[in-house]
Amino acid sequence: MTEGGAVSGSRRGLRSLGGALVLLLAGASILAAAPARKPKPAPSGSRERPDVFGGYSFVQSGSANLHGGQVSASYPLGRSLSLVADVSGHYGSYAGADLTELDLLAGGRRYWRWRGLSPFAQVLVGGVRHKASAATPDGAISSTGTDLGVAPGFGADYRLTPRWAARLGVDLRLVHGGGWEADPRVSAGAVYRFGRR
Amino acid sequence: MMRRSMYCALLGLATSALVLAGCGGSSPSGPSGKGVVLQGTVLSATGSAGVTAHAGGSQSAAGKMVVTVQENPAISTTVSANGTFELEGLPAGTITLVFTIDGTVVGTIKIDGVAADVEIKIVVQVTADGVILIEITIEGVGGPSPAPSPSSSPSACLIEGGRANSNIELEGQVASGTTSLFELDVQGSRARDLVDVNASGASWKCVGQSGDCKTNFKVGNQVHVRGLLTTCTATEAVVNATEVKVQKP
Repeated sequence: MTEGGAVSGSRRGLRSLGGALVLLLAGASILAAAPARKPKPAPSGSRERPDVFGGYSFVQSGSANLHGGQVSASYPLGRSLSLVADVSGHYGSYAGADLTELDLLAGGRRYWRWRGLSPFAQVLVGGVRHKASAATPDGAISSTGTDLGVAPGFGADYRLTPRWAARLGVDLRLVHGGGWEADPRVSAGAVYRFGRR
Repeated sequence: MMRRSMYCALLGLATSALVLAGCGGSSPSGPSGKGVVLQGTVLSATGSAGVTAHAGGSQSAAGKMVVTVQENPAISTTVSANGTFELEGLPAGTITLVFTIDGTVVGTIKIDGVAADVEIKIVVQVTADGVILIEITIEGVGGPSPAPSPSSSPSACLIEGGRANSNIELEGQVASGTTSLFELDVQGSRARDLVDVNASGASWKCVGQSGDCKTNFKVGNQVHVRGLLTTCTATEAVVNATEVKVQKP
């Protein structure tokens, strides 16, 4: 493997591409499946309700695997569209440096619904703030920066009670830092819905 | 039928989540079989003149940073927005990493005495003066071992980027000594120990101050030294200075 680095770079690209393809295929299959089956008619006047989500989140940021938490809130604009605000923080270390990332994203989400499952697709846009720090004999040094982030993704809520649901979501966080790079992000947690149908 | 669709959808979600969680990343799968693997994080020097924050942060202003192995230029990778990068299949022996932004070299890091099939982890900082090695760890197949270079190798130079019998410029504070021979506490993390400076044959310049700074020379002076690095090991470095600039206190 004499061209390991080049291979490394292209492998990472291939892995990201593979991940993106899996994500897109899975998403397409879910979203295609929803309308293919005749959904149970929604009750008259049925519409989405405001909700908040909180849970665990993982992101593969560059070469580093970071773990953290995610909080998001959505507000319905119509029967199936919602405005979404999303905040997530991820932490970890890589090659001796401590990494911290904060994502502030907002966008739109489209729901489908059949029975207890509500698949959704969404696109979020916002800022991704990075911080990297390392300890030195003279004290810690760090650097920070903020990049544009765009995160198309999908997921599904599984209704547990009229107000509570479990959510699993994946998205591909595209970060523009001199060029675009794709960071897969996965989240899982609980959703609380406000109001009544 | 409906229930089966729901299960299929959930299965699809879970599968994609698992695949995404497992693909790529820094999972230390072990260096064996990949040649030398190098993982690194690049920190930018916030506020440094001439160096726009470009790693560990936004690179948009300065373009993408690329790391290339000088011994085999085909081995290169792009530094991520958060400053991380990884190289695989590096040659054993000496590895020189060349850091460039938009084709312009901003610094190099040289690592000597690298054994085959080890995993190297480095943290570097980009400053106006170049790229400084902050931390290095080398793990072998049999588990973690002390880094052979440059931090602990007997053959390594205690000055980052320094090489015996080559010209060098250093900046720092006078720790002890006289105008003929003094010890220099090099600024930042470039040197792991004090550097001996033989200034008996050097020209002296006073920067931003009046009077004879050589006569008023004292411990704590901020100086810039230019000269020949005659000796450099892991424990000792000697510079024969040709010029000493004493900065304004």
